[in-house]
Amino acid sequence: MLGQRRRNLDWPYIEGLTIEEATHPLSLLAVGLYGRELPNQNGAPLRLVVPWKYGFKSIKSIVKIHFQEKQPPTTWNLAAANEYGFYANVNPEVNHPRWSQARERRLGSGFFGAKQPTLLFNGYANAVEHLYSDLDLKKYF
Amino acid sequence: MILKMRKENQIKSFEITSEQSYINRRSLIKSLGILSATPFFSNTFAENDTPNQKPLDFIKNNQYSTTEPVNSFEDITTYNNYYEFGLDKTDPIDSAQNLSPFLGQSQSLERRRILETLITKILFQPTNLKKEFIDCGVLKLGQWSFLGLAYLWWISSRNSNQPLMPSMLLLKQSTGPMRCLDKEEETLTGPILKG
Repeated sequence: MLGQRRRNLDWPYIEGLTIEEATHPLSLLAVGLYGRELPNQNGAPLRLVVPWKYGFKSIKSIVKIHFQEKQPPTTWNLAAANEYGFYANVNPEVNHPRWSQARERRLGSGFFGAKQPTLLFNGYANAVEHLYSDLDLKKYF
Repeated sequence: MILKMRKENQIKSFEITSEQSYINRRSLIKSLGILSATPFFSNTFAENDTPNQKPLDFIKNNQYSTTEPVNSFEDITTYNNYYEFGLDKTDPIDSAQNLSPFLGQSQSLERRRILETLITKILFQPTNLKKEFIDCGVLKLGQWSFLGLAYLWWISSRNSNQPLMPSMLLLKQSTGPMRCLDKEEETLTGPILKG
């Protein structure tokens, strides 16, 4: 694909989840969006949506799925391990080294839209925090 | 050497602008009306207002619904990251229009099928012809190979992101010494290699 002519990432794009995360009812394998077929630019024909994680975890246009015992190497983590962790849970208290994650501007609010506080687990804390009860979220960001 | 000394009456920047105003500085600029011409550009993606995608049959699971306001279809389909299409958030909508994941895949699968059939036929011919078929087939492929084969492989892997198929590897392995020039016409009579 066009963007893969640049070697900015190690193609193909690879992402991974723990089995507990993958089997959570909020982890979606999506074929559509807003009641319609998934458009190409959103990852047709099949994409992952993990709403409590940063967007790069939600891999698009999936071609292969492996089940394995070890944590897989993942694309952004390989590219910059200090910036992109394997878990990548949305967390206002864990900043990206180059910017704060404490606030966000919602899509559609426009360039001038007001920022709002980012919510832990993107607002899905009640549904998913039990997955990470034993995990230091700052260490395993 | 430049020594930067803080003067007695120098005011720190945070004493001038409150943190809240700084965070929402863009809406502040807007409210000042400096860029009031912005709405002029807001219809850039008007042609995407009617989605081309086919409606799906589905049942909404209200257990995982939300009362939050929903983004517009336009917003979520014209502004997103998809680095395989490029680094800018408008690259995906621009580039994806030329790609049909279903058609593209079926085309590449079709090419792959043809190639696999070809190779299978070469490899599973009666024994007495096998060697010639391999040699000639490979030779014939070899004539347009480098670019042609690379192109076929590129096409087939481009859309489906699948690795080199095993029979291609087989083909690559069998491109050893190729000696089949005058026998070509009598051995390569199958319609496939005539193409």
